Amino acid sequence: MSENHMTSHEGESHGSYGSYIVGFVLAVILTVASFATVLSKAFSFWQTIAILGVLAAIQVVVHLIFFLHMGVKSLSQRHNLAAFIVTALMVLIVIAGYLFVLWDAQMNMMPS
Amino acid sequence: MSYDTMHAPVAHSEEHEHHQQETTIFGFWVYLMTDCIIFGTLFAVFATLCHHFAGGPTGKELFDIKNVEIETAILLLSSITYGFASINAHKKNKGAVLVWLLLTFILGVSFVTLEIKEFHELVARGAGPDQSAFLSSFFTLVGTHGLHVTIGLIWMFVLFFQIMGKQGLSSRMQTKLTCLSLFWHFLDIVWICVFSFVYLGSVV
Amino acid sequence: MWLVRLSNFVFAAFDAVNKKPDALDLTGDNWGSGRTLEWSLPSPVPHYNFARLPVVRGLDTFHIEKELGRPAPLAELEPIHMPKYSAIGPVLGACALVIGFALVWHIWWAVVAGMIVSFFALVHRSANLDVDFYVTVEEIRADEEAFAKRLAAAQAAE
Repeated sequence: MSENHMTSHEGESHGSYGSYIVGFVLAVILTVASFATVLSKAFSFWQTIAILGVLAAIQVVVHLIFFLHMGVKSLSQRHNLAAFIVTALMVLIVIAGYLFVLWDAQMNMMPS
Repeated sequence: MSYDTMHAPVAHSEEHEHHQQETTIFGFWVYLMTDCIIFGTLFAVFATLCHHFAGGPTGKELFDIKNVEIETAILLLSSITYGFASINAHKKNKGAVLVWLLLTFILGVSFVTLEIKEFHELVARGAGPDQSAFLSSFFTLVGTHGLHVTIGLIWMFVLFFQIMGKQGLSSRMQTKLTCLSLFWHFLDIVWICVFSFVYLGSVV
Repeated sequence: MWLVRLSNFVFAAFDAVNKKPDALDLTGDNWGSGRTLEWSLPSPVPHYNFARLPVVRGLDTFHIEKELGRPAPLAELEPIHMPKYSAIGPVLGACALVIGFALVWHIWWAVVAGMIVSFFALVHRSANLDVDFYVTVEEIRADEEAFAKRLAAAQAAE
């Protein structure tokens, strides 16, 4: 693979020092925020869980963009994105369905 | 009647090779997506069982958040060191690739060591996977992640020596490095969910 | 009932094996009316399957092409990239079987052995650079010409 072959290929999907450092700093900020939210005990239970969920979701996106170089620029990136969206949907269905069904079953089976 | 790839017409094979690399990487991505579903299922199991303590210890009593902080820091650092390795791989900078890979490997080993130590302490305290549904699902979920990291480390170990060998940073090795990069960063993403929902969620 | 079906199958299999050579189908489309692409291949199918990537212009392309007469080949023949045979799949599968069985029955030495074998099998495979080859244009062309002759002979016999 010659140098010009790499650049002639449309996907700049390899990242640079800059992009990795930006991603890293964002990830650190989000991680520290998660830990601080829990350890400070400043919020109620459900508030804390909600904040954790939002922070985790943002951090996942940060990692996907800066470390896994997800994007829409090149065809191969779009293929990856499509596969990811399908998977995310499946995971969502699995988790939501599981929680719904099992919590419902528990509610009905528990002697109150 | 047929000939090996090494003797293929150059222009043809290079274009073909590039196409094949992208196919390989996409195939690996699809594998990761199936892995993602495995973890999704395990998270769902944990979410339903995380309050079934069966009279045993709760997460609040068990988890050492200091330890989780260190583990998280190690994995995040290893992500960026691997990133630097792959940047140098594209620049054909063999020495730098090896140094960054070695750093990543050391960080990965320390992560796995910390996790094994944590598991060992839990089992020693009588909080093994057979104690309660909560602990079973905890060990399955976190253990599966740890197993992935271990396999990633074995892969990295082999790749390290292959790059040191005469293949160097051939396009084939670069494809392998890219696949491992996806694997490694993907495990980092799983860990985000682990520390957020399993550890921090249990301590709230 | 299932016995009747099974004996039907066995008879059909015997029949297929004992057929006289002149009853063999040489065109790959022994219905004469196969609609989909698999019937456009010679019988037996060459190891690289399609000599050219088929161009699909709609539903039942093969059928439409036959109705309008076989169109002249559109693309130049190109060398076809093929993987070489590899034992890695069966070896890893066997290891997984051993590891799984041994884990269930707590036979720890077999677990370790299975893992070691799969590790070395994987490393061996990963160090193997000689995993693919190209089918030459000459070979494909020879196959294609032989196939065309068989088709012509079959059409003449009709």
